[in-house]
Amino acid sequence: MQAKPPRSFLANNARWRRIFTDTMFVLPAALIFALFFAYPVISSFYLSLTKWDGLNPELKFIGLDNFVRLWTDKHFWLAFKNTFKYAFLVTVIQNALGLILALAASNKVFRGFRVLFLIPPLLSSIALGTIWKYMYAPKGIINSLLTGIGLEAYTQNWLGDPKLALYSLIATNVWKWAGMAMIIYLAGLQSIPDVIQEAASIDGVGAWQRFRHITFPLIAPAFTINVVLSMIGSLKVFDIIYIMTQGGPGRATESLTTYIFGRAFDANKFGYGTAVAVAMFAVILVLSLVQLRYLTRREVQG
Amino acid sequence: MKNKYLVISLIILLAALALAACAPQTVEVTRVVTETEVVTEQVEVTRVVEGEVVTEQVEVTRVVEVQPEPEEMEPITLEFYHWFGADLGETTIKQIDGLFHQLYPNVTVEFETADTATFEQVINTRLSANDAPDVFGVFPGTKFHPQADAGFLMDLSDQAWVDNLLEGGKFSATYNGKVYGYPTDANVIGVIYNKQIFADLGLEVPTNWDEFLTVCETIKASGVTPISLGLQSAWVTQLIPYAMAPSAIYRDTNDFDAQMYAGEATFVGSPWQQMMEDYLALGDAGYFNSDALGTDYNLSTDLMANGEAAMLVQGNWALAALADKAPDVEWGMFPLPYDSGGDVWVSAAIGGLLAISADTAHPEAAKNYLDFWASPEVQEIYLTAKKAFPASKGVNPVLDPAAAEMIPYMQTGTYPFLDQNWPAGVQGVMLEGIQSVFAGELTIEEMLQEMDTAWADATE
Repeated sequence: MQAKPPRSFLANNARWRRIFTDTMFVLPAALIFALFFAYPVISSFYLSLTKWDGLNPELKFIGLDNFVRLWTDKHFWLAFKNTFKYAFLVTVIQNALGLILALAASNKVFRGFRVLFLIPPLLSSIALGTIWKYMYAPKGIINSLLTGIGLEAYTQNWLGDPKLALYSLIATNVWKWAGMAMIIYLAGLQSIPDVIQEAASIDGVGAWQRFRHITFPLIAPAFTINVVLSMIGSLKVFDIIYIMTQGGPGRATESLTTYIFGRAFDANKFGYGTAVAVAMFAVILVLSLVQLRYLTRREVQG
Repeated sequence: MKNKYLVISLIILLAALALAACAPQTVEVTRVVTETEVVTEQVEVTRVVEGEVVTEQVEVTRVVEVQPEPEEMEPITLEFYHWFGADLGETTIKQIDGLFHQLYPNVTVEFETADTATFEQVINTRLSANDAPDVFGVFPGTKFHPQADAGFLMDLSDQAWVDNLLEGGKFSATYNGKVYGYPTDANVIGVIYNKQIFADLGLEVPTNWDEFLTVCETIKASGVTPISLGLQSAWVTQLIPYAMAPSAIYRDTNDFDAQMYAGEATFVGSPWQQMMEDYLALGDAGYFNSDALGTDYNLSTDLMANGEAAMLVQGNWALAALADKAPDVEWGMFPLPYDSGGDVWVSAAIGGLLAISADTAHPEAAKNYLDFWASPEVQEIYLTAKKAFPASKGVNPVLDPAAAEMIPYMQTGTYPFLDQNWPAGVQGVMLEGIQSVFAGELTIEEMLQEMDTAWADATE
């Protein structure tokens, strides 16, 4: 054993060493976070107050002009409307489908299908978007199938019809991500002890009643996470739309993200594009907070 | 430096749009070695000694830098970034770079490519981050003006090849009286047609709009789609108006764009109204494939390749795709005869410019490289592979027979692709507008108003 230094020094020394060690552990992540997240976010707040073409070294500070303009920009509001329609429908359908798939996959007979449903979330959106684009083509596989089974009257110009294009994209989005929702629900389902279900069935509770009063309340945390994730994910959707329709025909599938992209990279209005991004950030933040608060309140304490 | 971080931050903010983040990085390990030599010389020095001005001869020894002989030079790597590898294939560029290396053994060209959309974002990001490649592609017309304004492009007005450029090439490469790039190639928009179908129906190449409509009607009556149109690809929507405008607007009002910039003209009330009405009328008459809005560029060439459609309004670049898909079909090409009561002008434009970074470490090597590109031999290699037209005099590439059919028409008059002289942002609004008009969501007047708004927006 070594000779003990004065007590207070040891205490201090240990404490400082502890703090030093902790800091060193946190530092790399903190630096990366600051450089690639905090700094860009903060500087984009500044960029949104400027007029900038993305190239010129000089930024022109114009205060809140971009936001004033945004308020009366009908193309922004159209993109806003499309984005929310998309996010709402995707969230509802994706969760319903994910839950049904999870219930089915928890049955022993369908267990093998889990892997199958997990494949689409693993595929790259670019590849998948391109494949779906050609499936939706006027003489693509979907219309050919419909014609083949005698439903020729139901063939559509899936991506070319402005009234239909957004729904076609929603279908692709749901197809891609429903498997992910399923996995989260499956995890929730497996955390419910079998004894509860068994006890309920012995007491003569029907399948629907069991789902309604036991299963569903107990998977509430999975529900919360799924709803929030799918909503945030679909509000931010870009890749699928950009690959399949580029916001077209016309502006029928223009989302906030494709609008930001167009403003910044096509019209060289980086300041304005960033202002749209900041507005979108604010909306998603508020919506996620409200949603989390509301949904966690109804989670049952295990 | 500040700018660098702003750019990085912007990319991260648009994280979903991370395409731009994949800028190719090349670390150069090149040193320019200079040799030194000690020289002793007599110098006359004037100085003041005790109040008197005295001039005397002094022997001075100094160290002088000597340019080493070329073969002793350390290797130089030129970084070359251009979008044309995407459609041309990198083999042709590699071949050209190989020949250049034989001529300048110490210079190695490192070529990187990306599709045009990615290229455009990456190059602008790299330029504003002071990370420019030595030689890179720039888009002709107004698109390169901000890059020149910001001082990123070297002034090439004094280069020997400037005098050899054709008028259209020089026009597209010049800004504020200075030449900023070497125009590598020119492209035309016209009607590509299936010669067999024309022969079977006894059709001749139409020379005015009425004849063209008659040709369409005859083809339609035979059960073949007259014109294949891929409106789902936004850029395809503009080709018919681009082919109409040279005769409808610029033949008689060559300064239409200048009037637009001066605020003396608008799209509303211009020949655009009639052009769009005639464009739409082709659809109403059933001359397009009925599901054009759901058909993209690729599928529109498929319709041509498998004989379902007889004509395609496209650039000469589509001939390469068609030759690939249907090698046995004989294709021809003529200008869209939108005569507007006069001669038919051809829509022809410079495809791209080669520019040198203003702060390249190897200005001489880069200029030599452009000189090399400007030599007729290299031009012919490149243009033959690309099936494109020259932008310099005295260059005779082996053109695709269909593309070559356009040459006599081009003597009458040509005008560049419209967006090359437009401010940024107008083209995008036009592309969305045309799709919306075809989808019945917008009237022609509303579309032209939006284009006027975009113009005012961009030039304010």
